[in-house]
Amino acid sequence: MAICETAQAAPYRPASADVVLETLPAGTATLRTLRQNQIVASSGKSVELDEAMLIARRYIELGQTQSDPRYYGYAEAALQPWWSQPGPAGLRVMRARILQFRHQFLAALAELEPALQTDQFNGDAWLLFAVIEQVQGNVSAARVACLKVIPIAVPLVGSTCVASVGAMSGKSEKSAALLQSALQQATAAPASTRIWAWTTLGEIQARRGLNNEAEAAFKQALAITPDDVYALAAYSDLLLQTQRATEVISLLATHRQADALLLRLAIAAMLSHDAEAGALRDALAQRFTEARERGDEAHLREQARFTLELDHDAATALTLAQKNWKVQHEAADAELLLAAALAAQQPQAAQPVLDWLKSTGIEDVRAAELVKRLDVGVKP
Amino acid sequence: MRFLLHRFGLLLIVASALLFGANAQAHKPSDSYLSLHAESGQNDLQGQWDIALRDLDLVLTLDTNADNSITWGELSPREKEIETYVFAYLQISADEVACPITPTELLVDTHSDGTYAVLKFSAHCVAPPKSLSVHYGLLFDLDPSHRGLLNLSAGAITQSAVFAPDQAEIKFDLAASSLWRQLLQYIVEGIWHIWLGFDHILFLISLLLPAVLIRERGRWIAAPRLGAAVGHVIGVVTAFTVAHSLTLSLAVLGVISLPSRLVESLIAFSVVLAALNNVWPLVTRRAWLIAFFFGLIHGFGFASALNDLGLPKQALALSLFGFNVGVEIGQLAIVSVVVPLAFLLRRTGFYRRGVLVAGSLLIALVALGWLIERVFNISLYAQI
Repeated sequence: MAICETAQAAPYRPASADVVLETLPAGTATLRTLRQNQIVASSGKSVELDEAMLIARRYIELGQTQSDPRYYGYAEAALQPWWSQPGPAGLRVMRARILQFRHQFLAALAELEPALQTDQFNGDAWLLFAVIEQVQGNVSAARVACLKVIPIAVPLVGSTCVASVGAMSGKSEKSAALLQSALQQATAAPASTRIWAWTTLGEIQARRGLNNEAEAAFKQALAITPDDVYALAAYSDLLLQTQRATEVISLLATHRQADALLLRLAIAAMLSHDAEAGALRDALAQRFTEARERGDEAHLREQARFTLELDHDAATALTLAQKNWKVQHEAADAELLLAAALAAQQPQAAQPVLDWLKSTGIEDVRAAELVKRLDVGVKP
Repeated sequence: MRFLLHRFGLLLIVASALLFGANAQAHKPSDSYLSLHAESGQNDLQGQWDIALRDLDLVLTLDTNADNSITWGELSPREKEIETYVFAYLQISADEVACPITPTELLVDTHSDGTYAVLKFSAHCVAPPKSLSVHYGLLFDLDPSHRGLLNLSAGAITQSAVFAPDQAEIKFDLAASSLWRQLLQYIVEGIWHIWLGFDHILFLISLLLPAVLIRERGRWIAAPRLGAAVGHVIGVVTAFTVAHSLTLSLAVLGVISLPSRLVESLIAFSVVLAALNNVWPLVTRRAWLIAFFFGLIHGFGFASALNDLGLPKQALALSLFGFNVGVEIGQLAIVSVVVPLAFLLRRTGFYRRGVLVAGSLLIALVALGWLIERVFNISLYAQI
């Protein structure tokens, strides 16, 4: 798969009629049917909310499987007449899902709170709530939401939710054990749920420094779906941390579409002096430029890591990591800010992370290592 | 169990997709790239609009044979239809009068996320636009996350803007923005001129070096307080500024003109005099008089530099003002570095002998070289 060749290329007239200009994505046939339904639905007097929600749901499903933001836009368009109306819980959850996808976390929570007041057994709402609170580092709020998920959902969902929050509050070992036993019992759970659980287990083990156990878990996840973006990214991070960059290159060779994966691939290529390193770096820079031009701020974590590890611009990386820390508080965000503060020789900038690490009690060998180096750097 | 599945229908399809949000995007969101170019004094705008083939396919089904790929043979026969569709969503007007759009050509280009149709067009306005209003509505009804990224160039000035459903109309003031840019440009030129014009810098430094000292009965003594030194500095800088602003303006406006070789020679001479005055002091209490008198000469020098930049007739006063502001900024930067250093070192023998005497002699020597070069029109420092 060729990396993007862009910008400089001048507009041209293709040489002949059979030049293939664009290959449409896999979801196109479904998309056409949906569009047709939408047109039929809106040709009558007015579309019913139920009908619109059904169409929007299908768009979101497509967006999830294709990792394509356009479908979330189509879902929003389908819900347009009700977009700023209060509406039933199901509608609010759908809007929250779209907002969360765009990293508009506060707006998403503002949809979920009233949804949960009217429908306190809405599993989607609780799970989404838990995920957003966890991303923002609000461990206790996330735990409460996970406990609400348990009685409503299939057991593996509740266990994964509880374990991932538990690992953020000093209960890594217990959380890992919980996940392992839940996974053993839930062989019949949906594939997507099992991937999520295995990946979460792998991340917990990696943070505990149990690299072999982590690798085994990531491999389990990828055995179910080899191209799961989240599992690939987490596994790549483990490989990068254990000086196995060349393995990342072969792992991600055919998976460079997602920004998160292109970033890991570019770092691996740089570390192993791959001939493609420069081109990968430029492709990634181009994506960040395009995102910035359209006013997108959903890539702060990736951009900070790019600036730190590929551009070695510690000062800018620190600013980006600090900006990211205002929006997201996960272990990866904490590690990033610590590393940037260390590289920029500004240990005081790491203070918010040190406070957070202390208050959550999270176990994370990589963060601990960075904290130690920051300490050593400060004392003499 | 059915009940539960129904309630989890949405989110658990790809649970891990939840955790990554926008970062797992295998594609970027939908954007179109619109560029407009206005040439000063011309009625017509030239434009180019790049729209993703995927987006056009959504509304016009370009993939007619349904094989999931779009060929040039499928695209090019649809040119008229595409133009009719997209240009219904773009309105341009100049000074409140619509500029009708004429599509000229359909090409293609590759962006980071795929192939785009490139629609070239021109927009015909009744007069050269002073302000432009652009209304953009493409795809907003189908995908509210679509954005139109506009790049507008008018002469040497480019502006950019992003169209969104809540910002479908954007107005650009071509005249005002160009004036502001012009002002900034001349300020920068002014700063550069004083920093690169070593003769001006050395003149100023020669006048500032004794400011931290007081001459009493044929000897230098350290100025007791910073206040005294600052008073001296303010006197010198103000006199220099008033004088050169005066002649700069008069020369640029064409009221007085002096031959540039004479001006340049006099400037070199002023540096020699100012520097020698530190070694064998004649004028000590009224240094501002030297600053004022020779400041008049330096003003002519600034004027010829400004003339070399090419002065826009319609913005003469603006560029004059901007250039002068730039010169003052550059000058203040020098003062704010030299004066505090001199004040700190003023009691040392190094400052009295090394900096004030030897330094001034060196300055005088360099300036004497310039004087000879300029008077006799020869080159002593050819390689510098």
